[in-house]
Amino acid sequence: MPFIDANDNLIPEELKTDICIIGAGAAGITLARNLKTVKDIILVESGNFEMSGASQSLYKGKNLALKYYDLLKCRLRYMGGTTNHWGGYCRSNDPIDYEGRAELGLPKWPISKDELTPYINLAKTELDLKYDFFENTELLKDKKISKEQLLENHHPDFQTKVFQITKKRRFREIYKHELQKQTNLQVLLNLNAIHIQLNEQGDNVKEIIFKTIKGKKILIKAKKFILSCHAIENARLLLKSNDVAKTGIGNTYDHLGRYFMEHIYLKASKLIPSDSFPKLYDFKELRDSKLNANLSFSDNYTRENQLLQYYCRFYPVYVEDKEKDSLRNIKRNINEPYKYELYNDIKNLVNNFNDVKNFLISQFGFYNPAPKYYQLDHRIEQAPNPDSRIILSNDKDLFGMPLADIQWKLTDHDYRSFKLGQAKIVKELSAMGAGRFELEELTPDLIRERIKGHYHHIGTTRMSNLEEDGVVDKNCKVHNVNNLYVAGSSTFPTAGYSGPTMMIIAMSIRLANHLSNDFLYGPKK
Amino acid sequence: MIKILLCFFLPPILLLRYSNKIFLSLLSLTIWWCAIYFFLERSVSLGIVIYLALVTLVLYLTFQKYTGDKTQLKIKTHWIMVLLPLITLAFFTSTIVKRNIQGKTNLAKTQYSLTLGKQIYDDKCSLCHKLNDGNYVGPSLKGIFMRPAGKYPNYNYSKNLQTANFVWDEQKLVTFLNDQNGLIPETRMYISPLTNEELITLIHFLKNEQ
Ligand SMILES: Cc1cc2nc3c(=O)[nH]c(=O)nc-3n(C[C@H](O)[C@H](O)[C@H](O)COP(=O)(O)OP(=O)(O)OC[C@H]3O[C@@H](n4cnc5c(N)ncnc54)[C@H](O)[C@@H]3O)c2cc1C
Repeated sequence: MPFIDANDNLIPEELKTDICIIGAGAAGITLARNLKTVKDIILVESGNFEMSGASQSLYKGKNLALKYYDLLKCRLRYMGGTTNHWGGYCRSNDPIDYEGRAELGLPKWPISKDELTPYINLAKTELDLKYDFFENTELLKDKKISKEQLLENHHPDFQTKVFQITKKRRFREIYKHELQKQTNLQVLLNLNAIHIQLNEQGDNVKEIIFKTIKGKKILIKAKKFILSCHAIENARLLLKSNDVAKTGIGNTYDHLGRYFMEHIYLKASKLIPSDSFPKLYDFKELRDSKLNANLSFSDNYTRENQLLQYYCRFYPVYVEDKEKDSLRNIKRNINEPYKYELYNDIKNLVNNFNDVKNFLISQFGFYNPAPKYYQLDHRIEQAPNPDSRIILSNDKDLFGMPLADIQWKLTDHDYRSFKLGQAKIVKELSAMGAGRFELEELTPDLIRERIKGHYHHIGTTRMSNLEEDGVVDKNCKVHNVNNLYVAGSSTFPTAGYSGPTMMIIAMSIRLANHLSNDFLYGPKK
Repeated sequence: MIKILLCFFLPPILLLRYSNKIFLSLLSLTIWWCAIYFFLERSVSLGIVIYLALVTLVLYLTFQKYTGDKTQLKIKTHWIMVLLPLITLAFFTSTIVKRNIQGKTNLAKTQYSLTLGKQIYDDKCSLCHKLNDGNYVGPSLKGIFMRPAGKYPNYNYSKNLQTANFVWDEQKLVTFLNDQNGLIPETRMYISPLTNEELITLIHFLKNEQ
């Protein structure tokens, strides 16, 4: 069925359907495509096919604690959602990610690895990813890389973890025609969920209230509703809909909006490599093959040392920023040869001729010469922290709905994992003679100053077996609300190793299967 | 041979040594001027092409003259030889002065930090806009200054930008970045507000990147 602008007069002010999915991003589109046996689905999307400033403005929000990204920038509010931005880095979670490790505050996932694996494989196929995530043999063979290069063959505590980068990134374009042809589906554009109305008992969603920016109001009544508006917005809608459930829907035990997690990274310390440093770990080495190999630790080592997932990237540096600036300045000033700076810049380049030559060679892609040094890039999963959270603001959006602010905070587990991760890398690589390190101490101050996120928003409606421990159950249904589901990385109990999106797709296929079965055979007891 | 080498530095004057034909002097002078003008004002490569054309002309004329009796060749003073350096000097000075005046009025004397500008660009713009060719979520910012609004190739602009009839300059950018919807109603872009200082620093950075 075609995509319809909700402002169209053909659309009545009250609609009924079997399943109403709110948000057409990675999760929403995957759900709609996989709910083929359900008779009637409405997929509601806040934006249109192109970005619009007015719709994007609904994503405004402030950083209240650590400096995070501008919330307007790190998610997109139009058809396809943030898949219009994402980089396509994919990898499955590791077995350790599902285990739960109380000493780090990591809850056990209510779903086991074995239960999720078939869905992860479906997601992997959907994204055209070729290689196994845990067995690198085929990949190494294809890329003609000797197994000798893998550092796990030199030290059992190491494990090489490879991200595969999918080319299937822009869901809006990729699935447009398929969605259009899907006869059980209606996609309503320019329509925003603004309130989830529970019945008086608070155990069922009666309807969801939607509005267009032009002012039209639409009520949708559905047998089941799925929120797939991305982590921050999912929590915002549930927190905001507090007329029946006074602290927000699914928030009896105060978990809603909490445990906001990122995959955090920071750049610190240098490795001046020797000839024996395996080129495989050079960030640029596999990039053209849409792969990215990182040095991480085995599950055993991570478990025994009570570490969060840690991995290290090695960014080759050929020239310092000063030389890069000189190159840029020369390009810029070449039309003004009387400028004195031009001669200084040329002098600077001549003085560092060798580095500049290597830089240019690497830039033009002839081959990857040996870098001057590697900049270490330390990455960890963030430990769940109830104080790292979404808070409803006093400021309102166009609809008078409170905006969501973010209070991003770390715990001692995060600081410790960065510190021990670096120490381990330095110790073992030095012992192997892989090079000489110039170290910076990873103090909490340095970490706070330099950390960044990956634009991965995780947590905020965490999954748990018991209502006391989270917001949704193992089938992504909000505890004690019969017909409300949440999809996306907001349900992940821990951040895990992988980028979230492939896991979002896997979990969405699983949810779609679950709901299809419900509709076919009635709910499982 | 030395004379030929000298051609590279003093072509119009040397030319007069071998020919006092006013036509050739003027031709050489025009080409030489064009070369300097393009070199300084437009593009070094165009400057070099014109310079090479000039050198070829001089070489051609020089070799033509060598076939004659060298002893007969004398330097003949000509009014153009006096005028030429003066005109060239005036030309140089005027372009440099003009450029300095322009530079000063465009961006007040304060030194805006390019590093800070890059930070603001990274923070606010880079996810949607590239500095080189090609579009992301938003259109490329390459050559944004003096570019007609809403016309960058292969970007699906909002209706109002498609029909906009102005050229992006500093003032227009400041207005737009302060209030996107104010300048172009229903535009696709929406950013968090920037302070005045941030705005000017960003624009300085963008200008520098062009
Ligand atoms: C720069 C960048 C790079 C990234 N790179 C990677 C990467 O390499 N690997 C990776 O795994 N992940 C990456 N991500 C993260 C990835 O984009 C997200 O994990 C993914 O898009 C989330 O999917 P989602 O469906 O939950 O949310 P989204 O894709 O954001 O979709 C949510 C949808 O809901 C709609 N919506 C929101 N609120 C409402 C409402 N109230 N009513 C109606 N509709 C609404 C939105 O318009 C949007 O279309 C990256 C993100 C960014 C910003």
